[in-house]
Amino acid sequence: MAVGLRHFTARAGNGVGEPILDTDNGEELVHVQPSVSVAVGNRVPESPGTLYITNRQVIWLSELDREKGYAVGFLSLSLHAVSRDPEAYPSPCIYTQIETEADEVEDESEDSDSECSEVLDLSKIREMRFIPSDANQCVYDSVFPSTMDTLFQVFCECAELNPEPIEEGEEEGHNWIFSADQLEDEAGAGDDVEWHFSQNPTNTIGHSNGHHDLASSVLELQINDQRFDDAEEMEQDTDTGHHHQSQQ
Amino acid sequence: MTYLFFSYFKDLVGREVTVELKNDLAIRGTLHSVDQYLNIKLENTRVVDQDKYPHMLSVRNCFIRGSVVRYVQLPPDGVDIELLHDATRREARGG
Amino acid sequence: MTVKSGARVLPDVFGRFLTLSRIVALKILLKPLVYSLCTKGRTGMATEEDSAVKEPLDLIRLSLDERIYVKLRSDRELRGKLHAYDQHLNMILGDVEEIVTTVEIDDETYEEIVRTTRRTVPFLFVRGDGVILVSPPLRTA
Repeated sequence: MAVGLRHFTARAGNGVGEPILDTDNGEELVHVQPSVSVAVGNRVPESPGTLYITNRQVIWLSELDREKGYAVGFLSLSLHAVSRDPEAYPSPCIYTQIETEADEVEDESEDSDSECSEVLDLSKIREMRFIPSDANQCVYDSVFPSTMDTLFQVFCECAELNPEPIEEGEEEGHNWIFSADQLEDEAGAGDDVEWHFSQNPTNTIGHSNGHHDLASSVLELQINDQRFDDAEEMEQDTDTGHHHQSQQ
Repeated sequence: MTYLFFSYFKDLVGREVTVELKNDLAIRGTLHSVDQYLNIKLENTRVVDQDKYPHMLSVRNCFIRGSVVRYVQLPPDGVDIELLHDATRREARGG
Repeated sequence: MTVKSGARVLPDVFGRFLTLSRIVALKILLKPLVYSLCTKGRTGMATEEDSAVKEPLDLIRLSLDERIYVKLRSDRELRGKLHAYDQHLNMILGDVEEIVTTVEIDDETYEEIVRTTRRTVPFLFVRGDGVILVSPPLRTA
């Protein structure tokens, strides 16, 4: 699950040095880019800092304020792009979109509030820009692109190192289940998945044209699992007649 | 991700596509590359709904994480229906 | 209703139960046409290998080149001709009609205002992780 943008303050050397990485779990530093500002959401850019790109996440640490730093995992970076159009943003930058928890639950709250208020709610931040300071100084496109292109390339390479976590069993092909016994076994072995059966005689499908009279009651298996947590849209289902009306 | 769509998108490199994201952003651009997770790189991109995302107006290069993609609008002449049917049947048997 | 979208178990022609994968949150509505195809496959009326149905995805294979109905997350529905799919339910559809349903609450009356937006797309790749349901074409209603 995406966790979005978060504060990052773990610095080595009594809190003044490089970010402390999760090296035990294979996190490695891939690229360091000094003199980069970040603009979080619609806010004005922070004073410059250093960008650390690891094989897991992007970390930015402020130079002035040792307590200030942000991190976002590649799993939460929906897209990144090279933005050079002054109409789009005054400074050339790496533009990123961040997937937040809010995206997955509800989409109602608008960012503007959180971004304007004093207290910055990082969990609602959906955009971030990385602005290399040499980008502003350099007029000539021929010199400047290297930093931006390098950053873009590093972002791409690291993003590709972070595919969606594979759900258990996904790569074994599909564990189709052909009998209820098998399902009970599955349920027994299941970890966080709750299985509910409900024989639902009202749920008849394929009964209408009379070509045959195959049994058409449908047994339902419901998975109570956050992966399928879309309760708010499922409520809509009761209104549409195309498919099943489920009973719990 | 399966080979079928990976190889299909590889053949589309260089063509114009519109990638629609789950956050409703739609980005049109030239397909630069695709990987096995269907991460998509576009070039010369532009945002379709510019009113909604004015600041995305134009970016030269854009990397889109495969998992945030909802749809990709394909160029009509970039779809060989017979080929797709065959590949799908082959994959269905193999899989 | 407290449905988390879940897999659905379908009786096949032998009265066993087929369930869809735990991973792909998919529900198939079996339609008479597909039933008859299944039956033919089993009884030898149609001996073609392709008509054998062993698992739910086979039912989708039988819909290749047919118009299907797809329900997606975020209240989206698609109708289109199925040209390709894989086991994740990634698909390529042709002559696609998309219907997006949005519900707004009227500020004054608190009534729900349901809006549907329609559009057509010549060819569309659909990523399978947004798919809730795939169904052969609706022939009734």
